Amino acid sequence: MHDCAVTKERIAELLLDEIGEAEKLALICEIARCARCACVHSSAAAALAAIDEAGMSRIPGESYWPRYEASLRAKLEQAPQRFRWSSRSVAGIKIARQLAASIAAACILFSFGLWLAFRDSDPEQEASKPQAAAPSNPESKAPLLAIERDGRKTDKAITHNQSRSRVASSRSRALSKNAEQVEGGVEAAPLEVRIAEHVESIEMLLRSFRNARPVAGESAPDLSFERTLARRMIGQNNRLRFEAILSGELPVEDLLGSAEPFLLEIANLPDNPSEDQTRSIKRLLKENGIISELRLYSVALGPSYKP
Amino acid sequence: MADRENELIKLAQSGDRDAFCEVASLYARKLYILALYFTRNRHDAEDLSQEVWLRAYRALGSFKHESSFYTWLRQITINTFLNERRQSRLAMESELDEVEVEQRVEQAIHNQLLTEKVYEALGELTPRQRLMLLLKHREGLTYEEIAKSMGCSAGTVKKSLFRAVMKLREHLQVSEAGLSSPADKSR
Repeated sequence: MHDCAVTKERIAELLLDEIGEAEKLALICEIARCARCACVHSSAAAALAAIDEAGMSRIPGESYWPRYEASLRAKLEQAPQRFRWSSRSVAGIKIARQLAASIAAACILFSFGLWLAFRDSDPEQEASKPQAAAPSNPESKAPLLAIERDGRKTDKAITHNQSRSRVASSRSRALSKNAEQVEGGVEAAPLEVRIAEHVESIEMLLRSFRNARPVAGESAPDLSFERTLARRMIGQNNRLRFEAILSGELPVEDLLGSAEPFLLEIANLPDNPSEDQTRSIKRLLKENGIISELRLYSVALGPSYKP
Repeated sequence: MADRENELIKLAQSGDRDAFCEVASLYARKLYILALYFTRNRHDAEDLSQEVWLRAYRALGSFKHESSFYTWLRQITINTFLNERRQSRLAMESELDEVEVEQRVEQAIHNQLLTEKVYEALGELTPRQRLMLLLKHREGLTYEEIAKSMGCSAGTVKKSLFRAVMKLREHLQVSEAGLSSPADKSR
């Protein structure tokens, strides 16, 4: 059964060469049988042909292109390539990569050691033990409901507050490595290494900020650690920008300069930021693409750099 | 040809501007025509196409030779075109005296009228529709490829292109004898 509306849609696909040969033949036959569809087909085909013809007639002559190329060349001279490294810089980066990898490994081992050392003396867990031992306390009734007769805790015993603080503490631990770097642990390393570490720290901070989600029952995520870290990183960022200018690493300075507004925004967040406040920063992060740029910088260091 | 192109790109990536200019000269015409269709104005087309080259030059370090250079360049072109905020100039070009191609006056007038009409019709499309049409009709991309490049679904591309073609058909009202004037349409 022929349907002009459906065929009309198919005509566009036919003209734009989006259907197979077998279908094409069937469609052409169908169009030929309906005068209205045939008219649509011929006029649409003529419109596309007119576009081609018009385009061809407007291509500038050969004398235009040398002028075009000269003008492009002039513009290119004022536009340096991003992250173009000299062979000397590349050699420096290779050393920096190895150093950074060693430092990162040491940080991970140190963090793991800290985690092992403090795991059993977690104040939240300590706080929960007296509650288990004092069933008469009305505030501790809920967790106690979940304590089995043999005294062991079940999953139900993890209260809302505990889960919230655990999420926060796990994020804090993940970022503590960066905090140590910010506090000057690698201050004596070459500039490339410090920049690489700093860029990675900013990237992780921004990712952590972007991915922060409120725990169940809360309207906004807890961003206190990100805020503290951002405050610490601003000074380091300024120092590295200055050093990058002095050593002629202008693209790096540009990159750190692009990241600074985000550090400032996060650092200046109030104690309990509203969802709107965090959303606007997240939106800017997305639009600005700074995380990708920071990633790009890390990628420019080479595939073997795996902190 | 491809080897030479790769060699030039590698040189350009190491900072050789002349090599980049040589690569640019290979695709300059193709890119310029796309920009011309998109902006419908020679001056804007020149600016826009050169903006694409500048962006490509700045981002050349990120080209990993995983796709062809033109595929990579086309994605930069799409992004640049979509970010183009400037309003295209309303005044249509009147450059009959600048037509550089050797042709008879009658032919030149015909081309001028045709171009004006076509540019006007293209101006009826949204920038996204116009870009989709160019990618499909001029570049030969599939619906899926366009959808991937422009961050939408293939269904959206299909619908947009259908609307674009129908709009052009209505606006141009091309008959076998050539373009009809608005007066002809009212008859």
